[in-house]
Amino acid sequence: MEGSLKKIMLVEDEEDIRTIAKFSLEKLGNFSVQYCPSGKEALAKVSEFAPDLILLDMMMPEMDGIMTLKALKDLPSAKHIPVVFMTAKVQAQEIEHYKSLGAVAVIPKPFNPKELPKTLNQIWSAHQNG
Amino acid sequence: MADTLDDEYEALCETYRKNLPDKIKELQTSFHNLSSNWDLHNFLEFSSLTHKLSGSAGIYGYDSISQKMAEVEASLSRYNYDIPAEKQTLQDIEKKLTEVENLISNAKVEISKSAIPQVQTNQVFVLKNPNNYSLEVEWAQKLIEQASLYGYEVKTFNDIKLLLETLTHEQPLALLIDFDLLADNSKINLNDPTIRNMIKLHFKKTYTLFFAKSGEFEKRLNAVRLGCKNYLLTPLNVSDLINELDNLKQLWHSKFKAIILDDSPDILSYYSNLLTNANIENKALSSFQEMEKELHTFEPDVILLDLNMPECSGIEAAAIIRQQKIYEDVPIIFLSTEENKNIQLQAMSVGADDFVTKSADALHLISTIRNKASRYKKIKSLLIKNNLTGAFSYKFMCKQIEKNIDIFKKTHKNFSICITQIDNLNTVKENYGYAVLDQLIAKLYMFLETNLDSSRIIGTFSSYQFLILFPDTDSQKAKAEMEKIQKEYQATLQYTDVNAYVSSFSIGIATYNKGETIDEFIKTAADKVL
Repeated sequence: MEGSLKKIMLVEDEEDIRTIAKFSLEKLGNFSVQYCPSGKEALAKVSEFAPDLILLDMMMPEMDGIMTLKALKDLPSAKHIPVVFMTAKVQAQEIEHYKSLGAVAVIPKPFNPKELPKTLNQIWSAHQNG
Repeated sequence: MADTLDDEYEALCETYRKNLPDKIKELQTSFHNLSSNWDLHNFLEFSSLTHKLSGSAGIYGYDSISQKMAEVEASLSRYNYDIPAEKQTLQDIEKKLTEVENLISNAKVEISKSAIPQVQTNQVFVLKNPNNYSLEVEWAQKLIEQASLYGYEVKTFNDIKLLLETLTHEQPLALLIDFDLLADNSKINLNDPTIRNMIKLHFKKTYTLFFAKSGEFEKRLNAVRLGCKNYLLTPLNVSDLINELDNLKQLWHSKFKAIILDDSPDILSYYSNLLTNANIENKALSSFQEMEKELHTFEPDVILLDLNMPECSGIEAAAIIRQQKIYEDVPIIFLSTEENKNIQLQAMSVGADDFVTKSADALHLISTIRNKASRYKKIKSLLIKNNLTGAFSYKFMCKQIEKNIDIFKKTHKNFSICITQIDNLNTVKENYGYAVLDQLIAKLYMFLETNLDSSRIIGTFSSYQFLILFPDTDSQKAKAEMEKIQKEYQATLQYTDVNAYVSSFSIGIATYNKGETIDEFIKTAADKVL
């Protein structure tokens, strides 16, 4: 174990979702969070913020989740950071595909804001132990 | 969540709700632009707005809005900026947007799993006429008195509008509605579609019981159409009503436990998240060996098995589970990408209860799990619980005591038992008969269950005696707890159909001593009660 999950980068283009996720992650989860409205901004900020985990929306204009993930994996400073996808279009067999791209887990949307921190901590400890 | 966090959460949801009308207006304008001029810019704008509302509405708890927008998104996905939709599709989308607009105007009262207040399982709302026939007033008073003894809080309303208003922010366990008052045209017009929809919305999401002086077919039909679940004629039998509330409460508090077995960690975490979000406690395991261990300690109500695992296939795993007598009835649901009917049949033949393909809708899976688990729990509890009272069987209690003896041997943790016996049994029997005696026993059980700490286990010792197990408790503490309940019980009036009387019970307590057999131990308590 390298310790608990502290810093999260949330990449999400929808403002309403960022608002409720901010409450969930900061107030309920006590995480320190960097918000990015686009994949581009995430790539620009990831080295400096150095998050423990990246929470990435799948459907975004311009650069979608998959493109962002691929670009992150190409960055030496970010390629080791676990990425968790958030998507409404998830079926069990698609997970294999996301995994092959390098995501560690997929959170189905809509997620429950009250449960999100718990889910992330579970993913984090599974990732640490695995 | 702490109260202040709860308030903050509510405030965020409220802000979102207030902005919903603007969002739908923006969507409708964007759709209008796209229909009249199907080009790249308009297509992307409308797609993006649709996707955003579909995603955020679900997270803020407006599931039906989210669902409708997802449908629009799905129909849109068949087209592109250079492939315009046909007239029929455009009309469908427009219709769906209007439906969303209607949902939004009712959004204040929409039910959702994440944003609504929790059901207050100790609260009952009654709509009744305060100054009508005196019988009504009397039973309502009796109901309030009786219900409060069993831990319920009864709020009475004389005005349907006030009741509906309260229901927008409070969610009681049940609604008891005086249908004669509701149907009184001078108060409210039941034929007005807005009012009718409002009533239906609230009555359908709550357990709603109508009571009325008469029960003609038309009246009952109207009641059903308004969302009524049960229809009773006045005067009501208060103790039957309390029984009904107790059953309902139990349903709300029933929790299910599931084991998920799959060799892929990602699929495991996907299902585990899904079940956690649906309030189903679960253990996600990746090997059969792990599951063998958990089966005994976790005692699942349902098992989800992956069909294709390298070490031991799902079908083999199911066969091994079924070979063990105690797991003969645990529901097994297979998860698989397999659409092949022969393989599905093979799975059923080893005792699988259902087969869900991995591409199936999440909601379908959750409802399958809940249905199977709840039926299994019912059967299990019929086997170990007394029909009349709901207390555990004597055999089950002996098993629990044996478990505690094992713990005592390992950790020297004290534990106690108490046997209760109703005083003056013969007097009750002679004065009121067996039916009232049975009622008295069932009520004593409910009283004990309501007032004892939830770690206490109540079982049957003989027809009119209970055996209560106090894990990790010495005799002094158990005695203090029971004496307090004895006093409260004596202060409670017991009602028959015609009158009221006072009842009491005696107790015998024993704490387990080293070397005692289970029979000797129980006998010590039984001797003391006499």
